[in-house]
Amino acid sequence: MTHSLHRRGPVEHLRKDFVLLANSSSINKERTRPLLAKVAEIVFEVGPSNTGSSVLRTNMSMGFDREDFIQRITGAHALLSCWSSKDKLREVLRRLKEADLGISCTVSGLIDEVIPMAQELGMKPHTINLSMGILGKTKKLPDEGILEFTTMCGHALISANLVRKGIQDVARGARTPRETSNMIGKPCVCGIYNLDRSDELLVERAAEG
Amino acid sequence: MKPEVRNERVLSAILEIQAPATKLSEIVPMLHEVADQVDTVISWEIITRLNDDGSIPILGELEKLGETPRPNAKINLGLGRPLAEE
Repeated sequence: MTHSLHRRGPVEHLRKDFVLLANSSSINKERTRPLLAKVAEIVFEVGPSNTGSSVLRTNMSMGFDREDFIQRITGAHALLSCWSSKDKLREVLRRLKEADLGISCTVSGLIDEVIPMAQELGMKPHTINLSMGILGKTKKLPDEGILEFTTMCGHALISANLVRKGIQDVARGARTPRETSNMIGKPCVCGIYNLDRSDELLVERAAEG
Repeated sequence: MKPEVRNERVLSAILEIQAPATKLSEIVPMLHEVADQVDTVISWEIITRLNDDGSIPILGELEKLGETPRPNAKINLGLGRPLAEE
C-alpha cells in the first residue's frame, strides 16, 4: 500500500503531477540516511512543486527554512517531493542517477511517461504498483472534482470541506490560488500535495462557480 | 485472523496479500464480492515486477478479468543498492 498512488483526475491533469520518493530502507539505512541531505539539495536545486517529511512534520506550505530542512532530513527515513513539470522531473532524476547514491527512488505518475523517461536516462525500472481504482460504497466519496485535490494526500489528511472552502475563497477573491493551495496543503506533511496543480485546479473550479 | 483484532473499529486498514500471478483469477473476483458487502470504500492496487523491457507482465491476465489499471502508477526506478539479487 502506498500513499502517492491513487491520485485522481484526467490524463491531461496527471501529465503535470509526479511524486518522487527517495527512500532509505531497513537494509541500507546506516549508509543512505545521511545521503538524504544530498537528495534534498538536488531536489531544491531543480525546484519542486512541494516537498516535506512526515517525520519532520513540515512541508513547503508551512514555509520551512531550506538549510534547516536539509540538515534535519537525515533523521527521517525518506524524502518526498512532487513535480508539475516533466522537464524538471527528468532533470532531478538525471542528477540523482549521476550522484549514484544507491538510494531507492520511486516515481508516481503516468506509466507511459515515467517508464520511458527512466529508460532514456539509463535506469532499469523493476517494479510497478498499479492503481486499480476504488471499490465498495463509492457514493460516500466526494465528487471527482474534489477527489482531484484530496487524493494528492494519500494519508487522507486533506478534508473535502477544506477544499470546498478554498474554491469559494478563490472564487470571491478572498485569497490568491497559491495562498489557498498553501492553506489546503499544510496538513499533508509528507509534502506531496502538488501546489502548482492545486493552483490550476482552484482557478478552474472557481471559474465553474 | 487473530481473535483479539476481530470486531475492532478503525479509521483505515491495510490488507496485503502475496500470491503468484496465476492466482489473480481467483483473488480478484473474491475481492469484488467482499467489496460489495462492506459499508466503506476500498482502494486497491497490485504490485508486480516489470519485464526487462519495462512492459507489465500481468496486463493480459487483468484484461481477461475485465480489470483496467489507472494510467498512473508508482514505479521503482531501480536505483537502490544492494539489489535483491545481490
